[in-house]
Amino acid sequence: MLTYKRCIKSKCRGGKAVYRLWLVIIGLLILTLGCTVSLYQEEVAPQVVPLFTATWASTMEPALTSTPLPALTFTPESTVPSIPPAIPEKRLLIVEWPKRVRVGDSALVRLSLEMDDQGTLTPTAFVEGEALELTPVEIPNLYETHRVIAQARLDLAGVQVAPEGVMSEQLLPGMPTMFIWSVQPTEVGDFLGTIWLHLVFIPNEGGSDSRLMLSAQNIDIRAVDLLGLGGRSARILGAVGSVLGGLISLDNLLQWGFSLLKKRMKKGAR
Amino acid sequence: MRGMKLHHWLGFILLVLSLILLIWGLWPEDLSVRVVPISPTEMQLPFRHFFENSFSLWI
Repeated sequence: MLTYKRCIKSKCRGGKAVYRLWLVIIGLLILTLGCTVSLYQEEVAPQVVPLFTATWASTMEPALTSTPLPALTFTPESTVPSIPPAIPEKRLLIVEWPKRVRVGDSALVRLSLEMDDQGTLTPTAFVEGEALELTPVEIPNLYETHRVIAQARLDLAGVQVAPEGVMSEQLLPGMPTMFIWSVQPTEVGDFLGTIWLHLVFIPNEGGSDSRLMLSAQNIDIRAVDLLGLGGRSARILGAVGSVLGGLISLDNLLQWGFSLLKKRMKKGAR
Repeated sequence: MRGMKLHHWLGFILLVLSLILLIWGLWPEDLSVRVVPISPTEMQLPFRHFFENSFSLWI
């Protein structure tokens, strides 16, 4: 601006050009600022974007009528959901595994999909302006339209796992689901593994299945031994040694114990 | 304990070592537990699948 005034005052030729340049720069700055603010607002207030709405239909109608394809005749009161169906339950994924396993012993790894205490669906919040409004969202029940199968697999290299491969179980409303594996390390070491849990949605009215990876949980198991002995060997040796050691030394130990007791009793009597 | 002979001492040591082995072999395993809450939106039909099925139903 100063340049412009200076230029106007000095009646230089490039005065108007510089002024226009300034205007363009300021305009660009305002545009950038506006875009940034709008992007920020979108991030702050994420909203469910409906897939197909009446607006979409009205905007697409001219293009569709010009083509030989059959006209789409859905109305605003059509029952096509705009939100994909979901399982209307809050669940807890519980993974249990042993931190330490003796070599040769088997231990259990459990994965369960329990029901949450709070149970069913909670409302979803929408931010409108500055006020937070709680609006219950009607998410279609997936159990009504699909068969839901939970599939679990345990990958644990270096350790014998039974059963191997994928285990499947149908997920029923309100019912927990559990998968159990038996693991048996054959050598000492730290073993890292992953439990994969997938959900498979099979439509009741036919159609293609859909697979969703629900969770991948890492577990670590340490296989240990004692003086080179595994769990089974240690127990057998321990049992045999205890019997032998007891037979050899226990009678003498008992005599010593009784004599000690007698001496104390005598001292107490005096 | 003064009157104990050598084989009694050896037997006593064997007993102690064997008990250590037995206790180690029978000690219950420590379990790790992890609880992960899963919301309904995480168990939602994949969007692509939903889109394809919905579109095929309309046409």
